[in-house]
Amino acid sequence: MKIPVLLDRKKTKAASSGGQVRVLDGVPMLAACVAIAAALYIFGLTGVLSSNIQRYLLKIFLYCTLSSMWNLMSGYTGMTSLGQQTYIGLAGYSLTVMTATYAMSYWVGFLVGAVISTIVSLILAIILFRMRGMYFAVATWVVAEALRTFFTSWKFVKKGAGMTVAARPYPSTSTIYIIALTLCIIALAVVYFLLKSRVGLGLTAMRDDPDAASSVGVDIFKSKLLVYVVSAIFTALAGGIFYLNKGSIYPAGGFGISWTVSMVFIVIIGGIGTMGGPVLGSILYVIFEEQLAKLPGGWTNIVLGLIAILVILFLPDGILGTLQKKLRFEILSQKRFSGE
Amino acid sequence: MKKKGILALFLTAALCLGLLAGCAGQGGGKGAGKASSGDTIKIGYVNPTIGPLAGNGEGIDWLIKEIEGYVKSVGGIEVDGKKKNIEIIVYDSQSDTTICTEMAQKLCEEDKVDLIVAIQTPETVIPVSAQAERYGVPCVAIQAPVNAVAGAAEKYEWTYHAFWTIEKVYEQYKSLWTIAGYAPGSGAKIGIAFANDADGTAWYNIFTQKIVEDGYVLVDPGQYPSGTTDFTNIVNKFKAEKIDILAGTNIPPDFGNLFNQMIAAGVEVGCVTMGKCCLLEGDVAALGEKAEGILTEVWWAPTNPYKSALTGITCAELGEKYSKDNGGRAMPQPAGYGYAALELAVQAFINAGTTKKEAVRDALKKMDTTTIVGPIKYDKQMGGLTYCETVISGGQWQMVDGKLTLIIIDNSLYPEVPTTGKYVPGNATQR
Repeated sequence: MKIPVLLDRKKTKAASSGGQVRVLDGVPMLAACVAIAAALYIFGLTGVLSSNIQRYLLKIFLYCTLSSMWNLMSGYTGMTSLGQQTYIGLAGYSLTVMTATYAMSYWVGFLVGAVISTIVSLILAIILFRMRGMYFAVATWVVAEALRTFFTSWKFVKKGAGMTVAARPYPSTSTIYIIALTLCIIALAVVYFLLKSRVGLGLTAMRDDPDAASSVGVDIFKSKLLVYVVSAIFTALAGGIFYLNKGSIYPAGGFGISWTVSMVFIVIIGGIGTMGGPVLGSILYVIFEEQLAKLPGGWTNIVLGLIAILVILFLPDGILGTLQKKLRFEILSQKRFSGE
Repeated sequence: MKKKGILALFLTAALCLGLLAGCAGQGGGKGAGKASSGDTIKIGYVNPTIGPLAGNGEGIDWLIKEIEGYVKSVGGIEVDGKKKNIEIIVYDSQSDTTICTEMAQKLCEEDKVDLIVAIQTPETVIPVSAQAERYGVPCVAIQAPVNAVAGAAEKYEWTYHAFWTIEKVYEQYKSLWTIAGYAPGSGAKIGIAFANDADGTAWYNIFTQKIVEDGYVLVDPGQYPSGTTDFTNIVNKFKAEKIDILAGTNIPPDFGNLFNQMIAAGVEVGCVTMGKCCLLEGDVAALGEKAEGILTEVWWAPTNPYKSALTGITCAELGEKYSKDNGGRAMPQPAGYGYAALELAVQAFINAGTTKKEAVRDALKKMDTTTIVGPIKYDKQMGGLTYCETVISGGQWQMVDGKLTLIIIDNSLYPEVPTTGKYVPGNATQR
C-alpha cells in the first residue's frame, strides 16, 4: 500500500469535468491542521477555554468522529448504515460495566468496548454483506433494535433501569476534551490516509459500481470489511467517550436511532463524500442543538428537520460540497488528478 | 435553480451566524466559571415537557411564575449580604434520558446554576442527579421512588431526595386490594404489569416478593420494554390464569394498549391498581369511561392538610389558584411536587444565607420544614442516598357530574390526609 506524500505546493488540477479545481492539501494544509490541533490542545490544557466551551468542543469532536466514520461508509463506500448505534450502545455499556460492576479504569472500559465492537462487527459483516443498499441499511437498524431489546431485558445490566458510570475519580471536562480531541484527530487521519491509499481508490470504485470494481480486481468483501470494522472501532471509541461525559446509560438511549439521525444530519448539511463536510456539519449541529434547547419542547427537532429539508432541496451536496463545487476547490481531496 | 441555491446557501449561512452570535452572547467565557451567579440565584430544572412523561411536566410555567413571583414579592432572598431574586432555568428533557443528561450538563456548565432540581420519575431524576453529583451542584431530588434512585449510584453527596419507597406503595396497594374485597391470605390472583424501565424494575422487585409473602397468587408474565404495543402474550396469560387483580405502574401509552387489549380479549378483573399513568386527569380522560373505578396511589391532592412554611399557602388555596389560572383544570399531583421542589430550593438558600455550594448542600442536609407535600426532613438512608419519606394515600377514579375525578378513599398509612369519599365498584372492575 502506497501512502501519498504530502506535497509542499498548492495544486491546481484539471478535474474530470475539464475545469480547474484548486486542491487544498500538501504541506500548507498540513501545517494549518497541525496548528489548529496544537492550539486546541494548548488552549484546553492551559485553561484558556472555559469548561463550557470545552463541553461544546468535545461534543463537536465526538460527533465529527462518528459522522466521519458514517461518511466513510456511506459517502465513500456506498454502505449506508442505519445501525451504527449498535457500537455506541455496546461501548457505552462496556464502559459502564467495567467502571461500575468491576471497578476498573475507564480506559479499560474503552478498550473492552472497542474489542467487543470489533468482534461483533466481524460477525455481523458475514450476514450484512450479503445485502446491498436499502436492505443493508434496514438490516443494520434491525440489529441495533434487537440489541436494544436484549439489553432492556438483561438483568446483568439492570434491564431498562439503566446504569451509572462510576469512574473514580471522575475525569474533568478538560480530561474528556483532550481524549475526544485526540480520537477525532486520529479518526480524521485514518479516513484521509485510507482514502488516499490504493484501498480508498477501490472503495470509491466499489461505491460507484461494485460489479465493475470487482471485475477489475477490487476485493469487494475485504474492502467492505476493512471499512466496516474500522468504522465500528472508532464509533465505539467515540460512544465510550460520549458516555463517560454523559455519566449514565439506558438501552433506549444507547441503542437509539437518534445517534444515526444525528450522523446523517451532520453529513448531509456538511457535505457527503467530502473530508471537511462532517467537520463543518458537526460544528453546526452542536451549535444548533445547544441553542435550540432554549425553545419550548419539540421545536428543536422541527427546526433541525426543516434545515435538513432545505439543505437536501437546495444544496444536495451539503454546505461545503456546494461551496467546493461553486468556487471550484477541494479540501484534502481523495480524488486522483491526472498529474498525480 | 442557480439563484435558489445561492439563496438557500445565504439563508443557511445567516441562520448559522445568528446561532453563533447567540452562542457567543452567553456566559461561556472564563468569568462565567465563578461560583456566584450575579444578581440572581439560578435554579436549574429539567422538565419532561413533551413525550410520554409530558403529563408529569404539566404546569411548569405556572409554577415558575408563582415561585419567582413570591421571591420578588418579598424583596428577594438575602444571600452573601445582598438581596437577590431567583431565576428558574428550565430545559425540556423530551422524556428522553439522554437529553436529560445533556440538559443537566448545560445547566451546570453553561448556566452555572446554584442548585438543580431533579424531578418527575426515575427516568429524569437519575440522570439529572448524576450530573449534579459530577459537577458538585446541590440537588433537590423529588418525585421518584426512593428505591430506584438509591439503586442507581453507590453514593450521593450532593443529592437529597424526597418521595415514598416501593415498600410503602405496596402497603398502600395492599390496603386498596383489601377495600376492593381481596384481603391478604385470600389467595386472590394478582396479574402484574411492569415495564423493564427504572420505575417498573424497582416496583417489580418488591411486588413479586411481597405479593407471595402476603398469601396472594402471583401471575407474572415477565417485564416488557416500555413502548410495547402488542400485549397478546401477557393478555393471554392473564386470561388463562383468570386473574382477580391487575397491578402495575406504566406510562400512559403502555397501560392504554394493555388495558384495551385486555378488554378486547374479554379479561375480566375485580380490581385494577395502576401507578404513574393513572395519576393525572388528562391521562385518565384519554382512557375514557372504562377508567372509572381504577385505583391508584395519591401523593398529593388539594385536600391534603399541609401549608407551605415558605409561602404560607395551603394545598386548597394552591389547587384553587392553579384551576383559576389554567382554565379550570385540576392541579396535577406532579405539579404539587414541582411546587414543593422549588419551595425546598428557595428555603435552602434562605437557610444557607449564601450561594456557596457546600453551604447550600449543608442547608439541604439540615432541612426541617413543611412544604405543600408535607413535612420534609432528610433523616433516612437507603444505600448511599439520604431521603425523606413523603405521604401517600389511596385513590379511585370515580365519575362525578359526568367527569372522571380522583377520590381519596383510603388514608390508612397517613391518617392526617383526609379521605374524600368511599370505594365504589366501577367500569374497570367488571367482575
